[in-house]
Amino acid sequence: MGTKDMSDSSGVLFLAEGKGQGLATITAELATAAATLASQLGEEVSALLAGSELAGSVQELARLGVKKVYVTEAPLFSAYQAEPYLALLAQLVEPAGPRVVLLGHTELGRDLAPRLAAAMDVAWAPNCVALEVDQASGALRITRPVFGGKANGLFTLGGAAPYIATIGQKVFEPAVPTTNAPGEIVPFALALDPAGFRTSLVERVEDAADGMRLEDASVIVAGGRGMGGIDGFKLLRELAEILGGAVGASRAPVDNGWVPSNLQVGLTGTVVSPTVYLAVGISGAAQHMAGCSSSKTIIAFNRDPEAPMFQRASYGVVGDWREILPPLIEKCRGMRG
Amino acid sequence: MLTIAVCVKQLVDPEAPLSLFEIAPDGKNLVPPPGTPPVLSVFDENALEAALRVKDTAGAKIIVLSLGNNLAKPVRKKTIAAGADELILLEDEAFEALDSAQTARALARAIEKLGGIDLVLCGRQAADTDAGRVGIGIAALLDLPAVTVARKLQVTGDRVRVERVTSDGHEVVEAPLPALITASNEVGELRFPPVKATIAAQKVQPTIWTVADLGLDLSVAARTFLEKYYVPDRNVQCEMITGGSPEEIADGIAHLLKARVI
Repeated sequence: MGTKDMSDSSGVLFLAEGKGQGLATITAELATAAATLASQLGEEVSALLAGSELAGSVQELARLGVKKVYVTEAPLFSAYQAEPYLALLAQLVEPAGPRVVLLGHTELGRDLAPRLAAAMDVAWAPNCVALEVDQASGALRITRPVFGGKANGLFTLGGAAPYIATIGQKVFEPAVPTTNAPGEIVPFALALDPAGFRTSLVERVEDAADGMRLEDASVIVAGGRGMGGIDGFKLLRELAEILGGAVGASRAPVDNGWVPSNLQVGLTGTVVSPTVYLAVGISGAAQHMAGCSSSKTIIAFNRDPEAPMFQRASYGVVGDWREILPPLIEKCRGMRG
Repeated sequence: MLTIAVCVKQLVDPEAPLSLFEIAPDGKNLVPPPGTPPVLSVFDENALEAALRVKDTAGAKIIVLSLGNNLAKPVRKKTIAAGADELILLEDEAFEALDSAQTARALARAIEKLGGIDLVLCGRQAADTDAGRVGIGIAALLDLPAVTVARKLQVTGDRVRVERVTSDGHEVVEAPLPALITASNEVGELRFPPVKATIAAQKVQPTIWTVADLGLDLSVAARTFLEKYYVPDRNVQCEMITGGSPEEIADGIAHLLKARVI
């Protein structure tokens, strides 16, 4: 695959993600990031949506400030698989020649974006929290967390377009649907030979939902290494149920097999932004904070008064969770009535 | 027998306390507190553990590759002591400032030079740059099928079956060998080596390959340029809830919760 001269490239293309019958949260966030860049460039935003049964979500996407919505509707795209998605995106990006391609820094984008960058031999920046066009050179400048979230790095992407970036979850405000004329919907058919794909998806297994999904919860009760084992998580689950929330975890409980990996909050887990994040026995390693720092209120319990978690929490309790959780559960139960 | 290449990176321990790190005056380096030992990137340790488990069950020769100068002795020994068979270091002054695409180029060239590799394992991302570009880059250059964020793998005949972590569970993907797989922390921690193996590892001498040994063309320019690192100001004022019995503290927390979510 060749790349284009910068001068031929124009516009910002983003890959929309669906969820159920609608759009995933990241899609409206991508629309905002794309619109910001496009206005700096004086160029247009386009989007690609692939999947099956897209009727409703296409209309929704067309109202997010997108000039052109490319739609590929085929059963092959109903679940993400690297090879078909790479073929699809590469075939669209080649002729359309966008200057910038944005994906979400999600399960899909984390896998697909580096593949596209490697296949096209262009630059890619992961997990961006800010993007801007350098007016003089036309290069893309991005900011992203590094060293497990300890610091931010400011980078310039050079070389041939397109520049590929994945944007951090819950970083950009989601775009609000406009009442203006919706974008043009363009069916995009591609030439695909599935026989050429080498990897095959055997099965997708959803772990039994442990109460509410993390990303949907307005209150998360999360535990860390300090929980000491499976038993501690039983109390967290009890409290989460009373509060109508979800249970989360830092990396240690997942690595130790105390909880399934879909409970992990952090850089390599789920990024959450609940109203309340109750962090119990979590020291506050940067890679964990990268997943919960946009919570509205963080309440931290830790035995160690020096735990970094207290630097990021609005309220803190230094002490043993074994003493505080049981009365807290009773009081919350009482308030719930 | 299978031959597995595992790519590992040495870096400053990212678990060292945040508050003790400093940004170098030129903004291009994060300086750890004095005495912080270098470690293997945690996801690369997971990759090595995944390779060792294949060796345990199916038998395999494991070759560890590491690009970067001054790999610390304990880091070298750790890979061999844990059960790797060979260590190849890619060392050259020209490797000081590679971007991830160039790093992938060098490692891919080394894997080509080795020849006969059935499986390449990498960490899902380096624990310092957190990008996840190198593994995929190697696969693209060598035209290998690639599966990312694995938590378990099983080689049967000339195919590998991979369980990869998804946001709501896992999926099972199959690929023909040779293939490249990136490992996630869900694989589990690198095993603790027996004392005997640690002593034996002292004697293993790494092979060193330079740019010239690899016949590597580094004229392809870097595309990602670091301007600076900085620590964003994000400390919030933490109100400590102190004093009183556990019941009183619990009461205080319950009222905070009530005001927000109950």
